[in-house]
Amino acid sequence: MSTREEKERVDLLQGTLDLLILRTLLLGPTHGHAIAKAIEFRSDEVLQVEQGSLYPALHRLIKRGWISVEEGTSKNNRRAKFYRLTAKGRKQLAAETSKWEKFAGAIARILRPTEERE
Amino acid sequence: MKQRAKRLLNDLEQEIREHIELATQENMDRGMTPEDARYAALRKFGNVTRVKEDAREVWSRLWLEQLGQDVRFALRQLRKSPAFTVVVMLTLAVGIGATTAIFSFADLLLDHPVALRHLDRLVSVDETSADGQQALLSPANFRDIQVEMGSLQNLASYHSRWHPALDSTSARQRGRRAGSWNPFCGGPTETGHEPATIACGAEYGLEQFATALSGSEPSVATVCRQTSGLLG
Repeated sequence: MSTREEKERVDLLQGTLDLLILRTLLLGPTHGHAIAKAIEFRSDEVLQVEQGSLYPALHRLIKRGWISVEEGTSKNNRRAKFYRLTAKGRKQLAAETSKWEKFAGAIARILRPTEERE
Repeated sequence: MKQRAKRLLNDLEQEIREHIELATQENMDRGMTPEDARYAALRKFGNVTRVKEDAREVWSRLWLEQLGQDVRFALRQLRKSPAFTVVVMLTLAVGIGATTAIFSFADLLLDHPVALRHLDRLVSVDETSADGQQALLSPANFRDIQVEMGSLQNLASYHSRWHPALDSTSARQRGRRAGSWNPFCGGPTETGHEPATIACGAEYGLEQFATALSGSEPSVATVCRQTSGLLG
């Protein structure tokens, strides 16, 4: 796991996976593998998702009513489960996003002055 | 809700398989050999069993479920081999019973012994009728034993049913030496010896008498069941 010769990757922070899933589903319903790929692709392959952990997270989001699941067919004509953002999930995404921005901004403000001093 | 969870979990295995197949295919499209592609896909997915368990745990308390499974399995096994079950139950019953008994005795004898100096010399004198029945001791017989006894240092009698002084609380309240609570039937006060009398009857345990006698330091006690006639 730690021997990675590709570009440096970052493990997801605890709790951020839910947010990324919700954000990904904002683009439209899709299946599990595509969600994992989208997260990696859109993060420039910096964010490393242990793809398996996606599924418990999806179940958690379903349980909270933030996403729903439906049967569908994938591009190559396979039956697959498609996950869709619900109205409640959309609201949650907005709330979580602003919370995250505040958090990231605060961390950045704390870190920046030290870098300038050096 | 329950139904939906069940379906999701049932389908999860298939879903994971599809996921890994898709990833494998993509890796092959990138030029990997099928073997490498599959290995890489599996590695990237992580621990399949743990994923399934984590997903299950989202919906239920997994450990509770597992505990229930274990218990049901154990019961099934026991039902399948009744002989074994009986042996195990007997072993446990005898083991627990014996341990409890031994510890009860040990507790009584070692931790809460009666406060008498020569406990080994405490005896109970009973009268037995011709047909083997335990009889009540008559006042006259008591006097006879008291006068003629050679091997006993002292003799006392009581009838616990009504003698108020035998109640440890009342004895303590009166602040009397325990020996004096029953001079009527030959307690220490009457004999003039060191306080040495204790009585024990069915209604009173040794311990209660020890409490009643506390402060009197009885050394040898002789116990005799007594009739109400003697004291009345």
